[in-house]
Amino acid sequence: MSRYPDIWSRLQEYEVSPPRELFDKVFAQVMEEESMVKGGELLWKGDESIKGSMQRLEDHEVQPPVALRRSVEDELFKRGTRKPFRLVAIRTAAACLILGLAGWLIYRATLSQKTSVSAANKNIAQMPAGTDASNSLSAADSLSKAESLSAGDSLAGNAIDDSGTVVKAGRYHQPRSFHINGQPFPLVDNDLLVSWANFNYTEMGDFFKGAGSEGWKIHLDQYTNIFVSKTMSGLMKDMNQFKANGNPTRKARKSREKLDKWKKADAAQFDRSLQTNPLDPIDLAEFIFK
Amino acid sequence: MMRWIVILLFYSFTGTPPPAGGESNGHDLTVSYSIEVKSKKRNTGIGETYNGGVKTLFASDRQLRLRLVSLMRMQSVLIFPDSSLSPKIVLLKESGKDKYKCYLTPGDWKLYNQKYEGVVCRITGDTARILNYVCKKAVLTLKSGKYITVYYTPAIQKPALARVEPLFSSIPGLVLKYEYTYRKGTVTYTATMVSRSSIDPDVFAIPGNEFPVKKFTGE
Repeated sequence: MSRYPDIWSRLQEYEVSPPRELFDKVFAQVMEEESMVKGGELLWKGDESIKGSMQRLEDHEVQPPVALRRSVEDELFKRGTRKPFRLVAIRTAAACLILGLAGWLIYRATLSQKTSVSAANKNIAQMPAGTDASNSLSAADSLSKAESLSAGDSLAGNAIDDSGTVVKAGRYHQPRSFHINGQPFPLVDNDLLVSWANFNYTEMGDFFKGAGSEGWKIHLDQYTNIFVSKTMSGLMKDMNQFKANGNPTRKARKSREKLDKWKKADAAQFDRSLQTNPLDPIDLAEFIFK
Repeated sequence: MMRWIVILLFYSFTGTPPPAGGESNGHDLTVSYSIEVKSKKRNTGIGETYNGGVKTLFASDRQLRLRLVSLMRMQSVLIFPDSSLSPKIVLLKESGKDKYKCYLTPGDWKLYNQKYEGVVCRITGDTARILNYVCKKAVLTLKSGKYITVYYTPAIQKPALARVEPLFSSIPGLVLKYEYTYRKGTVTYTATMVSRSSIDPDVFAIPGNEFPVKKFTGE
């Protein structure tokens, strides 16, 4: 209380006078109580009597109970609750933070489990009872045919777990483009040779102006940069020579035929029976040099 | 209170770091090999479409992938967990109009690599330095009498790699160069990059229905 001495005095500034008619009414009532009726005459005790009563009333001072006074002070100035309020706020903030962190950790744990827990069964059905695609391979990869991008590239990829169920292992991606010496080209059917065969004169004209004759570097993705030998880049150049009317030259047609023949031989070797593996150094070398 | 919050924050951000490309987790291994096709002839014909290609080996904790990318074709072999001694193998032809995937059982895979059973490894005294690794030379001789020259470094050990390349199962380290000569030509695989960075999980993904399933006959 001693910290707020001026507050009580400032309360005096908020004094409001009662309405005049109310004052008159009260005054008349007091007068009536103090007056005496004698012989039909109204006798007044006089101003002195009133002043005496007021003086007595003024002297009658009652101290409020200490507990009541303190509670009023606390209510007014929040003196007692200031420190606990701060503590509660900190505790609330800490609880929120811990809850948030716990939620995040649970989310992380659940996410990592998802990668190892077996999930969808849709690929299981495809595994042993799949269709034999060998028939369609006989019509494989002809460079002279128009190619189009295959649909469904965005399907989620899955891996098989040891229990035979499917494990989420990420999403299978096929590159949509590749770069030769830094210049981008669309990738058709994930096949570099087929993509090359599908280019037209307007697409290739600028490239050949800037391309060197010492082989090219092809960038496919973050893990893959391949090199095209001088011989092969020459063949690919020949494949994209056009006459003034836009038709391919004889040399270009011959080069395409050669590549088409190689494509068919490669498919016959590695795709028909799956007896040989292009990833195997012996199988690959014996195919190339047979 | 503040101390506990700081500790919680520390463990939540450092305790379980997310796998991110470029960060090493100590388990993943990526090796890229360039393919060189040489012949005594002026050009190697169809070999030119493989010359300059890349063969990449991806090895994570539980999964393996061997991927060939060349002008002619893109093809992969993926091998998945074998805690029940039954690895699952997928052959993936990724290029061309007629892509396919083929699921192999462990028995199929064994049949597929039958020629590498009983390979004899002879380590010579020769050494070579490849990608700053000191490599020892070894000659692998197959039952058929064919042989492959190999350079390997004992500094990197990853026995699981033998599952995806059974040819090297008797090599006590990581093969960084190997070559095979047949008739008048030689195919050489030379490591151009060895990385311990975390491998993107997408690398081990199997495509969906856009890749028809091809049955392995084994005949």
